[in-house]
Amino acid sequence: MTALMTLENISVSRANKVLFSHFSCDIKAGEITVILGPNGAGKSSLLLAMAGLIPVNGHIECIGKTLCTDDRKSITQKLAWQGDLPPTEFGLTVEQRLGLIGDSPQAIQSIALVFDIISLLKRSLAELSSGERQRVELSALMLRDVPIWLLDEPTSHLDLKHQVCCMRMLKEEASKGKSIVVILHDLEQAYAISDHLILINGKGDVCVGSRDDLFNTKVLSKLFGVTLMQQNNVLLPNYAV
Amino acid sequence: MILKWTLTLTILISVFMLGLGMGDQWINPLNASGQDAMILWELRLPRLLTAFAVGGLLALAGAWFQVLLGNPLAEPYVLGVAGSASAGAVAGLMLMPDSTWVMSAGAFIGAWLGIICIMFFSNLGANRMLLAGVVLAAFWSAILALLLALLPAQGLFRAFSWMMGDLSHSDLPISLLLLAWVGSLLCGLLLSRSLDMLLLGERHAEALGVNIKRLRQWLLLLASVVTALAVTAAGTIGFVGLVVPHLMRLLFGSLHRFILPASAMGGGILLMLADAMARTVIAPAELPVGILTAMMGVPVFLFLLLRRSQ
Amino acid sequence: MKIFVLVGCFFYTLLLVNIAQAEKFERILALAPHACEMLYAIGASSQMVGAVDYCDYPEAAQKLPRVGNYQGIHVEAALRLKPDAAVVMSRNVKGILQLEKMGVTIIVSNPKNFEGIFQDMLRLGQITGHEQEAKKLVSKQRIRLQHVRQHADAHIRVFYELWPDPLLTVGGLSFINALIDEAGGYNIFADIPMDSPRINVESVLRSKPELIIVPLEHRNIEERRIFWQKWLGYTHVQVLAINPDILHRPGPRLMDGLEALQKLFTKVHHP
Repeated sequence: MTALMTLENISVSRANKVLFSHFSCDIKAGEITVILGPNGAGKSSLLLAMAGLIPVNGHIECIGKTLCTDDRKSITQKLAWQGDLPPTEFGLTVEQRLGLIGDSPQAIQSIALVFDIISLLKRSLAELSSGERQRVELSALMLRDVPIWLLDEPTSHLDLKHQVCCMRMLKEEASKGKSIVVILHDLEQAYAISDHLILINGKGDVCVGSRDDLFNTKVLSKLFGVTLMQQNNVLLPNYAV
Repeated sequence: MILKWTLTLTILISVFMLGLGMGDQWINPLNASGQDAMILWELRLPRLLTAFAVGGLLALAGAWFQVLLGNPLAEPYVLGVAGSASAGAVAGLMLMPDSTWVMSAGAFIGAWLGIICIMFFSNLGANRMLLAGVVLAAFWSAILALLLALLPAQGLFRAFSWMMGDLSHSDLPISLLLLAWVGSLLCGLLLSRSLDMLLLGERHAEALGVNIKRLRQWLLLLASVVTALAVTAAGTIGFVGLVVPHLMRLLFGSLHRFILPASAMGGGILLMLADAMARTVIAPAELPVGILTAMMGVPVFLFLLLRRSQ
Repeated sequence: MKIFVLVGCFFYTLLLVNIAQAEKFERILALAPHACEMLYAIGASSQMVGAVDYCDYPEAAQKLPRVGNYQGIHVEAALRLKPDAAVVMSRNVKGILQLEKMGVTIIVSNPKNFEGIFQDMLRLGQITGHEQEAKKLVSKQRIRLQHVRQHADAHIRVFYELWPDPLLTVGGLSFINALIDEAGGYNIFADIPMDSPRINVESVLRSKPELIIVPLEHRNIEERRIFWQKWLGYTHVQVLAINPDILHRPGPRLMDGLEALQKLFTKVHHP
């Protein structure tokens, strides 16, 4: 598969503190890359850098163009980013929010089926629960028919049913050729969908590799600083005191 | 939707006719002659048109500042433009107490000074820009207080009446104000899609392809110029810029291609009505129009807010 | 406890009696222009030690040390002049209460009509020891007032343009309204129960004034004449100026103001 995005020698810093540096990897079409790591390690910053939303040291090339010199309009043709829930002060309705992506009402109707938000379409975002708003954001992402998707914790706020729904949707989109980078906290979900993993440990180290190489008790216990136990294919922490 | 727009237009026309007719004595706008005709066309009409344009401009600026700063409490005066304009007006009054136009000139210069100051902060995020604006506003009001303390007592009338909003005479030609009304509405409509995206926050808007830096600079400039024009024409009239955009959001939803024209009309309607009332409630004496905008706007706004939250 | 209160009351009464009997104040602050003019008119000039910014008449008053302006009295500057009394228009002016606390007797003079002005002049005469001069001045003014009243038959419709922008006039509660009435004119806004209401051009047009009086204070009379004649026509209205100092101050010169008003009224009838 061809690389849609190439990162070379990237350093990510936040508030003048360098989180990690000298990171390089390729993001290929049809593959899902999951970013794992503890809080504050720089997962979201890396994702924002890949979306071209924050300046970054190093070189990112995205579908034939250098990201930082590309103009905003052409970047939006190439990649979509899903992040925090947007503010709700000004009372947009769900339908209007989805309409901002610019698709026809028919497209909105059909996408709305996936996360069953049909009944919410006429309601104001401010009246919805966080989970419902997250479903709206995922639907908004699905309206973006672009080669690269970047998702920052897409399953947060979601109930179990919609978490499953979200994972299946990502898997399906990847199989259609999208390249997807996603930040997750749930190891089961990470195992279920990932082809590659990017591990950021928060102490300046970052590594990338295939799931089969990196997904084991030793590596992940060290990454999170928590003892993990293996049950079948699943890694579980010990919640008991 | 069509019903709402027809209703708005009907209200606009009836308020316009009402504003022409109302005064210390009722004059039928469709059938006036002699002195009545003179009063109607040479005194009431220019004043009414000024009120319409100024109200519309203030409401547009309010809508822009609210989305620009991502804060529903923002209004045209929040970044200190009103303060600097007032300080400029009073400074003008001090320099040349006899002249009629020097106050307007001072207001315009003052407003631009305020705009230039705030433009330095246009690259900060919305919250920090708001903070800078609030602090600048405090600075300008201190300057204003200083100038008022030094102003000879004879000038205080004029200064206070200006600060409470005065439509009785405007030094800007009415055609210019109406042109500004049309022009800024068109600019707003051109930007309306980017403004809608900005409702999702700056980061989401940028991710959707908005050039956020440029949008912010243009919007800030546009909103400030419009505010400066309104303030120069009629002094500082509070409340219109804060409440009308919210009112229109409650009635027309949040998309800017609807609320911008609705605000431009709604602000005009509110100010025309307020001015008509200001001229009539204690006729033949007059009240400052700023009192009426607040007294009429607040109950309507609170009523809609309560009804909507049920 | 009661006894203390009683004794206190007793001394306080003594004090009051003393003040009443201390017939003469020697160092007086005139903290209102009309009071300043009154004191000069009754010949108490040698007892005046200070004034405020706008006490500009008679010319000698301009030489008095200044201790304040519209916004308040500078208490320290005032005390430095060692005053024993101060004549003020209202106790509400900033600094007056402090002055009183420091032992300066405060005399409030805020006359609302000619009788009030006469009474205040007599009162100031008493406390400065110029009773005779005050009585003489008052009786002269009474004769002049009588004369004006006998000729108050102009019945002219008057618009008094107190301020051009915002357009302010005098209402029924105003002193100047009473003067216009006294001089035989009719204030077209006499029915507004306010002191200085803001009005608009159209109400003036509709009331058809025959005379517009412009108190010339930082204004060009020609400019105002052109403005009003544009609206009211050149033949229907006269626009005349008057010195505001003689109309706006309830002092001895108000009689001059009254006579000047009456003169304007006859000018309109016999141009």
